[in-house]
Amino acid sequence: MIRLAFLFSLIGALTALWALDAIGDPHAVDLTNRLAGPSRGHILGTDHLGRDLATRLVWGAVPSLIAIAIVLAGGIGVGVFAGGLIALGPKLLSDASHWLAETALAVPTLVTALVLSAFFGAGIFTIAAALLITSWAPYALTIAALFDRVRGEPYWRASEALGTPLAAGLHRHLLPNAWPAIGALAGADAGRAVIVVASLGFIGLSSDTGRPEWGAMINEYRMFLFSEPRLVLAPVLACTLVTVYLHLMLDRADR
Amino acid sequence: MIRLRAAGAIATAVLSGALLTPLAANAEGVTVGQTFIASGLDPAEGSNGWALVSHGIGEQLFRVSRDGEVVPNLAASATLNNDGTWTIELAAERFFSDGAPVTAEAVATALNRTGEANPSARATAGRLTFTAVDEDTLSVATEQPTTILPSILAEWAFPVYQMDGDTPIFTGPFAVTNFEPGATIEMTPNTFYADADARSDVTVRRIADGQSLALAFAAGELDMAFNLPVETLAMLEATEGETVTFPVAYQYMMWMNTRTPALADPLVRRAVDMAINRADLVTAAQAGVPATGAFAASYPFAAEGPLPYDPEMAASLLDEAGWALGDDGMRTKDGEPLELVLYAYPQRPDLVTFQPVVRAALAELGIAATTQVTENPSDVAGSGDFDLFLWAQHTAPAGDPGLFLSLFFETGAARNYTGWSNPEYDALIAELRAEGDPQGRIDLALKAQEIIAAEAPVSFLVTPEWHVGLSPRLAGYEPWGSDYYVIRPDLVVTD
Amino acid sequence: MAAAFGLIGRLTLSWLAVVAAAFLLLRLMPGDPVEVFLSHVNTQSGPEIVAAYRAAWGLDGSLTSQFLRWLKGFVTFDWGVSFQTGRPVADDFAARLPYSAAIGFGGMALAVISGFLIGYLAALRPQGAVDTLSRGLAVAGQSLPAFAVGLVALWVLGVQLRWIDAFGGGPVERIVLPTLLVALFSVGSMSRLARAGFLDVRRSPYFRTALAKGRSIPAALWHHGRAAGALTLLAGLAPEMAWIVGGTAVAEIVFGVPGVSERVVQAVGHRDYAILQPYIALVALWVALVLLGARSLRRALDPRLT
Repeated sequence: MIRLAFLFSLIGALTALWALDAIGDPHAVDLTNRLAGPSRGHILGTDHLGRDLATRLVWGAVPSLIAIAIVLAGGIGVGVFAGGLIALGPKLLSDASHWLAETALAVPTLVTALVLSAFFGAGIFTIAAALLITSWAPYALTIAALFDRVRGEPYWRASEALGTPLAAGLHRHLLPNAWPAIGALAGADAGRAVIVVASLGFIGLSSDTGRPEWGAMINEYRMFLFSEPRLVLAPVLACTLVTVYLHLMLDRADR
Repeated sequence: MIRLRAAGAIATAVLSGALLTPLAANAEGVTVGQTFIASGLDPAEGSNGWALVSHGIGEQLFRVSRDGEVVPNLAASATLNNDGTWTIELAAERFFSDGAPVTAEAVATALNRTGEANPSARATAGRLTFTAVDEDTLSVATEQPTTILPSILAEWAFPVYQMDGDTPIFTGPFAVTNFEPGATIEMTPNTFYADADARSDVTVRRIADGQSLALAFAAGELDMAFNLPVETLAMLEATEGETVTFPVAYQYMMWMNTRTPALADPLVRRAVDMAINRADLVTAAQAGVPATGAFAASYPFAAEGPLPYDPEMAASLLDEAGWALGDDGMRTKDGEPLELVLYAYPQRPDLVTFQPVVRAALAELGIAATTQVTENPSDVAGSGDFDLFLWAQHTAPAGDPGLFLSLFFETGAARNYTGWSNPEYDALIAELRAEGDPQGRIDLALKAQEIIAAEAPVSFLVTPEWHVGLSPRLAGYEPWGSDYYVIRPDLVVTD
Repeated sequence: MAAAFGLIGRLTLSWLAVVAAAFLLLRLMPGDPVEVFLSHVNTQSGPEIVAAYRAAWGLDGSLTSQFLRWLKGFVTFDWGVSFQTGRPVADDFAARLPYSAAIGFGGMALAVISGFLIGYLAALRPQGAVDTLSRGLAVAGQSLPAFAVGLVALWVLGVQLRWIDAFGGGPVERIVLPTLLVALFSVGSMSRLARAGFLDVRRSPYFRTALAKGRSIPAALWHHGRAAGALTLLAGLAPEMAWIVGGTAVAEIVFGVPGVSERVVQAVGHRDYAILQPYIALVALWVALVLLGARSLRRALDPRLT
């Protein structure tokens, strides 16, 4: 029930903004109207360049939600596969995946992202790749550890003894058992993905940094934390709303 | 599990114990918070010289005055001889902080050591060789001939020092007593420097984040906060003390890549230059003054008077260049839309703030601009893979216009990012290089700026201002000289 | 004994692979350290000056020879000098590492221990107050920007209440807030993981048997669930380590702590390989050791694993 309520409130909020005709040009600068408080024309007020905050927030929703989706779907997808390899694969593959994962953990995200940008230039695909590359390794190592545990269970030994194919075993036994922990983790990366996307934009991975995005907004407005907290709070709360929703969906209270 | 926890607790306790070294508390001293700090004391290493001069520890033979002129400091005079070498007379009554006099022998030993170890000391005129002629006369031979040795010696690479074992001893108003790299420097007045009694102990503390620096100032932990982000000034209004705003010599400008099809046309470049309202940029950054040319207005070689803002003229220039306005408000030529990519870098936050403003101004004119940010600006600018590039540059680091005008604008020069080439300009710079007379250099520098303004390979935008927080104890202090001279002999506590 | 040697050998090999890969990645980064340095210090540079710096910084010769030279230097504690500052890197690390290690270890230990306890209490009463708290912490840890939380803490404790001297205090005072900040952002997801482990047990037949034998729920859950809770939590250490490495840097910058991570952030900007290489080598060692430790602990807690 709560989950649905959140989803609907999110959609409702977006629709309300559309309906109020708040979705205008997010790039429209008006330096005579800097840092204006909330009013009828600007329901969340304006930023330091006189741009409408609500408009930027709504425009920013799409790229931010896509980033979250990539991390959740891609990161976990690759993570499950690599985690399976580490836990159950042949020794050579297992070792190689393990090394890769440890490298990904040890090398700062910034370094990896810079290398990617050198090879593939700016753009949405490079960002997606950087997100994937920086998010899979923790999942892989966690999932490998979780699988390790399930492998000790009698039913897994039985299914091994019966010669069940690996994929079927993964699907039938490993994933269902590891899922509560994976879910608890997966809620986790949603919010961070938004922040990471912003920092990637800042090192030149985004092909247009002017386009609003929640993480980029937090970064752009960070200096106003004390003088105009409204500017920082708006994208942070948007992020929190999505995180809460994902949390309730992935990390189930009743399980 | 329990055993592990106990082990963890013990390890933490041991670690914390090891860290429990008491910091000398100095109730009377002055505490300065800065976003950068010397990373070492040896001027022969890296860019230490810069920070040492800025902290009031080291001094050079010449320095740049408040009016932007090169004036003698540890030296009394410098003369160019007929054979291309220079003769330097040292000033009388100058001492190292251990009381030893500054002799020609000591200066020669130190600067030759720096010159050998630090490639930056060889940058402008190649290797400089110093020879002591007598007690206070030096002879300097330069690898490449130069007419501006005093400017070179005012560069940050040339503080004078004397090695005491591994520790360098300097001549500045303050001497180091304790040094924790990247964190704090504790200093005491150099008793052999004039008026030492007026000064108190100074602790320089590095706080890298601008907002944290403002909070430390608000908490009363600092007597000086150098330099504060403009956005924190409102929060600091309630704080005891004051915030002082002062102009700095880092000009903000915008390169226009003359190699791209659209910007190869000077008409388009001038249109872009005229479309930007510099007053808007100042409003957006909440500080600074509109630029008049390549140099901050305080320099004798700064150009006069306002650069034009005229959107209508800009529009007609674009019409003339063949970029016609379409029904959608965007301009095209031969079916190609007029699209430009505008770069900036986060190390200079003001430039990132400018991006949306410039973007909106160009959109108004029918130019579709997108913005990008890179954290290695010299790479991207050097590769030529940009249309417009917002840039901050100290245009007269040693009080002389020559370096900037040649390094960035001469045909094929090392940092000619815009790919601009103009024979008339090149001839002018060749003349400037040979000119020894100060007034002659000023006239040539002004002429060079006129050519740049007419051809617009660059748009000079804003002379920025920085903000310094001062506690009531430092009420008499006036900041000037960008980040070159922060702690100066006149840093004294007022009662 | 042989097993121990095998383990060390495996660890060394794995560490070497990581370090070599990282070495290559660093070189692939756009931005030449010499160019970055020269433009940063406002000087003009000719090719001889560039070549002089290249030689001085060990950037000449083939990539393999550079790596071998660096590796030899690293293991003999000859870490060279920083490109940016010219100071010996080993001295820099010796002065700075204690701060980062204290913040990182302290933050992780605090997060693991309190996360485990909160997870237990949350599993005791699903949907109860502690469960909500743990969820709240988890959501906050993911969606609030760490720098903002740190700055607000500074503002409240340092400026408004004047309880702490955040910048002027001694080294121990300096690391308290950063450690708490790092822990705060980890404790939520740690507690969610522990909770998942405890709940797993709660649904199991042997838990019901224990209840039937007359044990109270808290006692039975602690007795039968703590191994499972710890196991799940340990399995989830890897993502937290990624956070702790990054979070320590944020905490050091916000609170002005002269630690290693804060230095590394500058080093990336300056392409200061001399700082980045030993840093990655040490982080790799740390990651490998913690993961190995977690693995051994899991084996110890769960005898069915081999």
